[in-house]
Amino acid sequence: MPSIISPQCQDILEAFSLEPKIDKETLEHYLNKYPQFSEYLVDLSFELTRTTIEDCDPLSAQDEEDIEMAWQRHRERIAAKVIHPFADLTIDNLRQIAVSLDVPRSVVSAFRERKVIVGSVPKAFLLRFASAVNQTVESFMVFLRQGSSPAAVRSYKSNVKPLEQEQLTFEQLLIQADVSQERREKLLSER
Amino acid sequence: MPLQTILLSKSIDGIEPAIIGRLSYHPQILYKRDTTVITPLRKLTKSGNLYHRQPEIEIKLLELDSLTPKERLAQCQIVDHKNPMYVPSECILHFVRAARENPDGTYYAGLYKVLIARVLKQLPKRTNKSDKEALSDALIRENALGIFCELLADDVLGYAERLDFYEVQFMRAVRMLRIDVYREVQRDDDGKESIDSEEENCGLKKEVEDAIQNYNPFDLKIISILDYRFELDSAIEKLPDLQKRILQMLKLEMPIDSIDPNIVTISKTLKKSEKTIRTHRDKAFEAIRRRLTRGEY
Repeated sequence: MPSIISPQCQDILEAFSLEPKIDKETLEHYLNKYPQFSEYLVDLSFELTRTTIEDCDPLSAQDEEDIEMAWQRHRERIAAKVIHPFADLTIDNLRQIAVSLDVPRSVVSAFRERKVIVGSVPKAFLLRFASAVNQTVESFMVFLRQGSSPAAVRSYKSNVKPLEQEQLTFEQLLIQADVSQERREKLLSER
Repeated sequence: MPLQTILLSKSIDGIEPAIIGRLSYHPQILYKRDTTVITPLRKLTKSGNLYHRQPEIEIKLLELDSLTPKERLAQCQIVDHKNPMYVPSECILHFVRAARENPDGTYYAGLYKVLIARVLKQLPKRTNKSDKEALSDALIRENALGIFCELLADDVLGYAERLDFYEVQFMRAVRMLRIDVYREVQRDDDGKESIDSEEENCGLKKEVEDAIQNYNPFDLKIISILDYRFELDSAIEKLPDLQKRILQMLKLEMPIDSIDPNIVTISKTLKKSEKTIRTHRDKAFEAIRRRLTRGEY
């Protein structure tokens, strides 16, 4: 649900919230400086200064239910947002990616098929690969990990057929692809 | 923007790190043995400075970072605030974000659930009532939680800068979210009775005026009592917006009016006449008095 207040107002309110002290002087300062947001500032000052009593009660059954539901929705949200980074790529694109990463095409294919154990890939290589397929590294890693957990793949409702296959470390992948030892060492030493 | 691990050697922008025990400390980046263990926040303030966590949070993060994930999760699950091992919510959020590369792991799931529990503690409780107030509270709870969860999902696939605010001041950020959602819920509530829509200067009955003549909810004799302040704020929260704002400004000892144009007054801030402000102040006092004394006075 989008916020009904403008981004500028949101920034001012956030800055107000981060003030060391929320008191009369701080509120006066902001009211003088941003009179157009006066009602929001007064409302926020109330919320930030209201008295609370620490709630140490154990979680209720309803709380537990809400937490479990939030977790399930979180997984669904991620699934819905993950974009298949290779879906629209042509053979030529894949070739260019292999060239730009200086690895054989089979290595790129292994990533596309999510055969690699993500934790074994140096972060710098992942960053370059994600950038080459126009993804954030976080999104790219979530995509790659979908291949590592059959349960996860099923729950993510991906458009891509779930894969249950043997996974390889990055080093094994490079060896299989006949990458020279010197190049392997260079790639694996990237941080 | 890609995730970056910054390797740090000595100083940043000419600022030398302080030494705390065996750990080196810098206001924005923490590190030990020349390797960053806690990544800095990325959001910039309006003046262009990076957001940075509270120093005590950064120290706690370093302490927690030395634990195994299992130990860390167990410590994050402590709910008693008085327990010295209790983990601030800012730290839990940090570790949720740090673990987002593997959102299918049990460690991530455990931390995520602890964090959601912390958010729920700051939101209205679910009740079995079905009156207007309960329905509004339920909507605030559901919508605020939904927005927060959306931010966490965005953070898994990229970097949700808005979460940086939560890492700096978790409780304040949740309260700001709560009020944002409250405004939205209120806007959607077409049937809400608002004092603003009433005749502004409609006076109080004589007997009510008499009853509140000497009543001051902010009386210094009682305002120092924690339970009273809690009940008072809960009562103020239920007032119509205009009255709530008047009382908040009175609580901060702001004047209703002034002949000095440089003074911030309630009347000027809320764009209402002095008489209107006084009328609504009295109505608010009466409503609070009734609520706090359950109608007995």
